[in-house]
Amino acid sequence: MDEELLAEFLTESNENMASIEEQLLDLESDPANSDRLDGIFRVVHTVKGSCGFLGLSQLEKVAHAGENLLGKIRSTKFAVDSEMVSLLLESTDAIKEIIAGIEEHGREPGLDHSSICERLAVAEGRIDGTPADDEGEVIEEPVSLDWLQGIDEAYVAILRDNFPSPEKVLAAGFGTLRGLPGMQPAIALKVLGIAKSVSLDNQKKELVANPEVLNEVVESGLIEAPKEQVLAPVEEKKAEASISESSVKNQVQPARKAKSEGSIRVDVALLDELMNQVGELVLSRNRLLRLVEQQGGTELVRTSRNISQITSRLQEKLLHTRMQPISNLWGTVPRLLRDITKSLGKRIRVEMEGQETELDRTILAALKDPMTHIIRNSCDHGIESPDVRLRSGKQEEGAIKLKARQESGFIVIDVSDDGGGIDADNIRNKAVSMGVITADQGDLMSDKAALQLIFHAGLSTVEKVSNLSGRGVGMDVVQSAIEGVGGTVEIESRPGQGTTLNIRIPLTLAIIPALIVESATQHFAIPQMMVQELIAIDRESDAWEEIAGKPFYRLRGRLLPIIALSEVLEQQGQDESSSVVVVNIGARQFGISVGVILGAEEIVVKPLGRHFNHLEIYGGCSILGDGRVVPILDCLGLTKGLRQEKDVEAVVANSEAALSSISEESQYILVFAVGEQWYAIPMALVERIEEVEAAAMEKSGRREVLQYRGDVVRVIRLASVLEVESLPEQELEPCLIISDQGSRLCIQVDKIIDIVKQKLEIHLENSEPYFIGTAVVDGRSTEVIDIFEVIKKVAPNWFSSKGDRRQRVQKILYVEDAVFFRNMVIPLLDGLGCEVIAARNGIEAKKILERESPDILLTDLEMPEMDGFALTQWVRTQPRFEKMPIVALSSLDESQYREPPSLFDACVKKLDRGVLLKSLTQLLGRKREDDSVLNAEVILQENNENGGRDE
Amino acid sequence: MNSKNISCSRLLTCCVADQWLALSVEELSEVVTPQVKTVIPLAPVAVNGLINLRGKILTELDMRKILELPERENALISRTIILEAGEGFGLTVDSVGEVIDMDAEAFERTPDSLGECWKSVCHGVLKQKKGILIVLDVEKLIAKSISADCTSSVSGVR
Repeated sequence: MDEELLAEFLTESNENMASIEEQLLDLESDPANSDRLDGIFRVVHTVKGSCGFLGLSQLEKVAHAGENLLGKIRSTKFAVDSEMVSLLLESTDAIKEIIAGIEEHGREPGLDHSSICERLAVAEGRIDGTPADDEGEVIEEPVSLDWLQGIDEAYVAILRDNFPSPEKVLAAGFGTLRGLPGMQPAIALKVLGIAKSVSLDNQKKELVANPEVLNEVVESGLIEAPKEQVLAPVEEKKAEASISESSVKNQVQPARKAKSEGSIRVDVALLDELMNQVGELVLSRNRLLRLVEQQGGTELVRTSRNISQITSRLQEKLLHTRMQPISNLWGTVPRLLRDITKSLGKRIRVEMEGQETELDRTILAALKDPMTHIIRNSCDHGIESPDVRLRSGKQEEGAIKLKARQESGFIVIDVSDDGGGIDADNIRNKAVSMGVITADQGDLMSDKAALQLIFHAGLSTVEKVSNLSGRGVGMDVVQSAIEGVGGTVEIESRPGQGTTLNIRIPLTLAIIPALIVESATQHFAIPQMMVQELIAIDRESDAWEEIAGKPFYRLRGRLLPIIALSEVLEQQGQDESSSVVVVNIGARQFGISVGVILGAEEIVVKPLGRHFNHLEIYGGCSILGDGRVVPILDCLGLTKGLRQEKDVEAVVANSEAALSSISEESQYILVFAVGEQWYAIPMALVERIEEVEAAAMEKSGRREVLQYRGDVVRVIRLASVLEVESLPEQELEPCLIISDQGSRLCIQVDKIIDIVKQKLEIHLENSEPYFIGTAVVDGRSTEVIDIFEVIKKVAPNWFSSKGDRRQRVQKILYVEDAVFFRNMVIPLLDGLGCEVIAARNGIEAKKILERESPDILLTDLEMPEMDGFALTQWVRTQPRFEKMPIVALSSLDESQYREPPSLFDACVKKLDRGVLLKSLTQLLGRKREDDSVLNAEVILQENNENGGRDE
Repeated sequence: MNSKNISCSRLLTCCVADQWLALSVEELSEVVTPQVKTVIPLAPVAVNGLINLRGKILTELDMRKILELPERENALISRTIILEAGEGFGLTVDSVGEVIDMDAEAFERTPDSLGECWKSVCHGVLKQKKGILIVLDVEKLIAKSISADCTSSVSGVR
């Protein structure tokens, strides 16, 4: 049994059952109140329904019997009397009893509730026996007044006209009877008593004759319930027919166990208040830390640190209490889809991933509407109708995938469909025709940027307006709702393949880490979740560019639009800004230039007063550790103006496309020292960085080897290869494990410095054999080592040992504009034993293809003159190269390709040597050897063959 | 509002540019000395800034700025009245006087002769021996402090 579900059920049932008593009592005083009756029915119905889910058969029987009776009361508009209410109260007590038992023991207690079930069934039958007046004739005829034996004729006459059957007498109740003209209270009581016993007798006869009525009772296996039990309470009550309900209640209410303390429900408002208080505590803590820092003694420092830690923990735990799994939000999706698909005549299934991902409840609540809207949109516009899908070779049933995951302080939600996708050109044209952008801007805009236009207010792409969506409101509402909780949304789409919406939202909004910056002597807070990086800038640097009157900063090849904070804020006495805070808005980056970056602090977001409602640049305010109030900048609002300026967008989009080939050269490189000098190698070549005990490097002849993960790995001391002075041997030597096609090499260096992302300057002339370029790291010129040259020199067999040479030399046409990559890849291709023909761009490649017929075409994508896509498209039209496999080698992810990756036979990321070799060997029709076996042989072979040759 | 103001028995008097004003004591919680302010760029002109009053962030308004009067010369002797209206505000005046009993007899509706600016924040006047006291309408005051900006300044987002 699902523990969590059960606990939930128990809490909820306890809550509901607690109110049901009161409701039943209200109903008794006002039997015509159908709302009340509905409420009671719902509660019992819910209990019954949940039982089936949880496999609580005992409880289900009781609840079912209760539900049947209530249902009957409801459908026949039967006016309940106090006896009926008592019975119902008894049934709810039975339900409570069982629930209490489950709470205590985790399973249903073995109590016998067949009698109550039976009585409920009897009561149900009783209602049937006393139908509403208009349909009463059928039964009225045979009913005699014989049952009224011992009652004075005068009274029998009165009853004959009004309540001829015992059932009707019972239904009317004591009050009505008494009120009959000519009736005396004592007689009425007597009549009622007789009516009860007679009616019970009748029903019992009926039960035996008509077992269907007792279906439930039969199930409970106790049709032979002792009559005494059935009768006893009724007899008692007969005497008490006019006694107040409370005593009835007391009589039937069994003693009950106290509720378990496992979980309680807490008012959300209380939690919010607690959160506020913790927020204040965090602020006071910050202040305390600041003061202690200035004047604290050791003891004080220790205590305040303690408080600080406890506060953080408290904050974390409290945040947790407000978290709810996203499944709460997604729970309604299947139902939503069911309704939508029915009305649209489509077939759509939903797949969910990461339902357990938790979100702050306020954010969750804010996401409800956008989520519904997005899903409706996907169903309506995204997923095609079944026949269209079949025609385009897709499954008849469309799929919507919901994925949620946590990613560094954010929750990322992807909603994707496998529908028709959105054509960027459509959006572009529409936007132009609606005057959202100009035609020129449209031309300049990248497809991705154009797609984002669907979030623009008033731009709805579907001509046909349906009742679900497409009314011109929609995606802009979605966007503003998501931005309202500090999130961002982006759209990606591939025509024919589907659309993905990518939503990023912060985990919580209450307490956030923020960067404190200064602009014109004033302090501002920028939420750190928006901050991508901080850069110190030099005003004189030529990285500054002015395009269309707007400042841009060239950051690693990308144009970063810059906003000066002091200008946006119209501050007087601007000081020279020295730093730029790079913020992420969706996938776009903006730079906010500020005076000084002061540091980071945890802040509690407080709302700004109504005087600031019109200012979108502020997201709130907070109090810093020094007691000072600081406004929090809203990066979305701050950049809004800039983001909406289409020329800026176009410039950025354009430059991104144009510069993407440059940014490809920006690589993660590992910087290390050998002796005094710094060197670097591309990170992609390094499998692991290890610290190896000097003793573990064994001498074997004149070479050193290392036992590493079951391999015998050759150790290369870089200092000796490069002929530089090495540091004295250390106890732990930093080593780079270079991995190539499953075989490894260990390169010993003196010190690991850093891993940085850097643009590499490539030496055009190879004057120095082991270096392929330089990078400036930390102001130091750092040589980038061509590790393959080094290996070639020291262990020449390392590559060729695996290349199984064929009779005919296979040819590879390699198209790449960057020298750096050519230098990296060509030795690798050499290693395959292939002849390599290199070309610098598509045009050159085309020329080469006129005279050569390579076995494979390996091409970069972003190139000048003619790029890889264009080249590939051209090649695909050439019958001569019909069978030639084309491999894309790019630093882009497949998903970032402008064109469908299906154009290529394989797509490989740059410097992913393993994948490249694998793809190439496969496409060249070669088999891969079992590397691990071979490697060991290679090393051994080397040991034997070139014993003393390598120095 | 009206009935509340008239029926309330006590008023706090304060002074702005030599004009004596009065505020219902029920609408304020305390009077404080000048606070450290955080100026918020692009805020409405009537806003002095944000103040931290024992952990509560309040918007401080300046009576002189609301009335479009010249800035006060000696800011140090000014006082800030903490208003309880809405989310709470500080209202800075030149000085505060005393708490007086409301004399319903002496109360009169806003006279037409009063300057437009004054009229826009005035609830009525109270005739005293020393002179005329202008009884302020806090809601009007706050509304004016917001709208004053909206009309006179166009500085929005950028």
